Amino acid sequence: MKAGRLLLAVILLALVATGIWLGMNPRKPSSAVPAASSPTPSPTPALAPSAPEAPPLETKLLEELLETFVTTTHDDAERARAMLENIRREIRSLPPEHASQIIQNFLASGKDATTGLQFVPGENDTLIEAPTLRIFLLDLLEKIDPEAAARLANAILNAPANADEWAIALRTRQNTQPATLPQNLTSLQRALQNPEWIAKPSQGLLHALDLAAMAGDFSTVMRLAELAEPPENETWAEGLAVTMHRMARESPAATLRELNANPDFLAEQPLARADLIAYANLANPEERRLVEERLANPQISLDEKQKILHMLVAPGEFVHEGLFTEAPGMVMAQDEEARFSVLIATMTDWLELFPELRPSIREVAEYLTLE
Amino acid sequence: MSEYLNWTRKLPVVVINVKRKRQLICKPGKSRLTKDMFALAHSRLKLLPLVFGLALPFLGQAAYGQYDPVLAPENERSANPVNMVGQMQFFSGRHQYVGSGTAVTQRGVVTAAHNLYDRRHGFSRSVIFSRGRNGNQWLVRTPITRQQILPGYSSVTQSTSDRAFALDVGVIHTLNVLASGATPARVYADPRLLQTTQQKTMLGYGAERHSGRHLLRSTISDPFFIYRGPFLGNDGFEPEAGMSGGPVFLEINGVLTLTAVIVSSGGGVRALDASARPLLNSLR
Repeated sequence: MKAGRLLLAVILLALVATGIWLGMNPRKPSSAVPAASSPTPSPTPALAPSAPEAPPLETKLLEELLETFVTTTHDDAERARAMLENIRREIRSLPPEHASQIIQNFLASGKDATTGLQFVPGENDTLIEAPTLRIFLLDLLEKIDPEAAARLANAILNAPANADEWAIALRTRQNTQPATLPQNLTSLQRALQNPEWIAKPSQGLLHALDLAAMAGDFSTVMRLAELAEPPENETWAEGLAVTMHRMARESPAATLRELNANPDFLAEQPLARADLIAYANLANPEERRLVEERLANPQISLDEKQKILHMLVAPGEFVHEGLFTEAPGMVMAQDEEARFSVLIATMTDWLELFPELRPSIREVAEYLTLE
Repeated sequence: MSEYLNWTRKLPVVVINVKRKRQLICKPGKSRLTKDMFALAHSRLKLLPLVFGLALPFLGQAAYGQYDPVLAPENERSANPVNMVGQMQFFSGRHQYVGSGTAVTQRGVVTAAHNLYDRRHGFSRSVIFSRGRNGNQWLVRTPITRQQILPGYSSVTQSTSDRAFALDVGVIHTLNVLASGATPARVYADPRLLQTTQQKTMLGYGAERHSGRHLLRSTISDPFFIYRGPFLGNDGFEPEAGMSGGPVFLEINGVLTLTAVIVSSGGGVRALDASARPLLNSLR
C-alpha cells in the first residue's frame, strides 16, 4: 500500500516536472507546411515530428484569398486595400512558418496582380501601399520570416526584372544583412544605369534613392544630377531634391563637405541649394566651421548667402517615411529653444566675421523680433 | 492628358494655378494693376494701392458668380475656429507673395505646399503668419521656425498638374504661440465628406478682386469630385489668388472642422487624408 502511494507520488511528481519543462520550452512552430497543402512543391524540409498540426482550413482560406485577389480587377483602391488587409490579417493569424511557406509558394508560382495602389513606405519598415500583390507579400515576408525574405531578396537582386520588386528586395537585404551596404549601393548605381528604368522611373526606384541618403553616398547624387540635367526631367529633379534634403538631414557634415568641395554642383539653383545648408547644427563645431567656410566662399553669391542665413532660422524639409530612413518626429519646444539660442549667438559672432552680411543678419534679427 | 486638365477645359475662363495667379499679381512690371498690387504687398507705394484697393471690389463685382468669395461677416470672423485662419506673407526668390493658412495647434499651421516651396527657389523665406488678420490688425503675428511639405511636391513656374496638387499640403511651425487660451482648429481626415452635399465653408485672404487684407468666405453644398487621390475639385467654387492654403471647413458633430486646404483656382482643394498625417504629427 505504502509502496503504491510512493509510486503514485513519483508518477505525479514526474508529470508535474514534465509539465513545467514543457511550459518553459514551448515547441516552436513548424518550418514548413505539409506538401499536401502547398500548391507547388515545397523546397523546405518536411515537417518535424514535434511540429504542430497545420491548420488546413486557415491555410486554404489564405490561398483562396490570394487566388481571389489575383482574379479580381482592382479599379477601386478602397476595395483593394480592404482585400489586402484581409490577407494580412489571415497571414498574421497563421504560425509564421506556415504563412512564410504559403507566401514563398505563391511568389514561386509567378502569379501576380496589380493593386491599383502606389508604392508608399510607412513606419516600421512596412509599406502603407504596394503596387502589386507580390510586392505586398515580399514586404510582409520580411516581417514574418526574415531569413526566407533575405534569400528571396538576394535572388531578386541578382537578376532584377521589376524595379519595384528590386527596391523592396534592396530594403530587405539592407535590413537583414546590414554589412551588404556596399553591394546595395552598387546595385543602386546599376539601377540608375538601366535605360528602361531611368526612362520611366517607378516609385519604388525613386524611393530606393533613400539608400544613398542614408549612406551619405554622394556619387549616387552626382548621377541623379546627370539624370535631372536639361532638358529637365521633372521626376529625376524631384528625386534629386528629396534625396539631397534627406542626405543633408542624415549626414549634415558630410553633405556640407561635398557641397563646399563641389561649388558648381546645383549652381543653376543656388537658392534651392542654400536650403541644404540649414540642416547644419551650429552647436557642432565642425558643422559650424563648414557653414562659415561656405559663407566666406567668394564663389557663392550674396543672394545665396542671404538665403542660407534665413533658412538657418526657418529650415524647410520634406516629411515622409523613407524606404531606409525615418520621417522627422515631432518638433520639440526645448530643441527649438536650444537651436535658437545657438543661432542668435552664432549670428552675433558673424556680424564681425562677415561684414558684407551685416544687413542680412540684421534683417534676420528684425524678422525674429517681429511685433 | 490628366483629368484635371480635361476638367479645366470645361470652364469658361482660363484656369491656372493659384500660385501662378499670385505670381501674376505680385510680380512687378507686367501691367499697371500687377505693379500696383506688387507695391501693395511691399508697402512701398502709399497712394496707388489705396486707390486701387477702393476700386477693386467694384471693378470685380460685375463678374461675380454665386459661390465667389465675399467678405466674411464680422460675427463669423471672430468665432472659433474661423478666427484661427490667418494670412501668410513670404518671399520666394526675390518676390513677396501672400497666401492663407489655419492654426491647428498652438504652434502649427496647415497651408498649401506651394506657399512654401518651388523647385527653382527652394523653400520660402521670411514667412510671416498673421492669425485673424482684419485690415491692418491681427490677433497674433509671428515668424516661423520650420516649414515642412510632402516629398515629390514640385511647383515649377510653368507646370501645374493634378499630381502636384495631390501633394500640395504643408505645415509651418511658428515661433510664437498662436492661440493662447483658445482652441486651435480641429482636423478631420476623411476626404469622403467633401463628396457629400454637406455645406463646405472655404476661407482665405483673397487678393485678386479684394484687397488681400480681409478674410473672404465661400460656401457651397455641391459635392466635390476626386481628380487624383486627395486632390478634389468643384467648378462652382472659384477662389481668389491669396486664398491658397486657406481652409475648407465642414461641420462635424456641431464643430467646424478643417478637412482640406484650397490649392488651385477652379475650386481645387487638397483633402487632409492619411497621407498628410506625417506632417500633422510633427506639429506641437
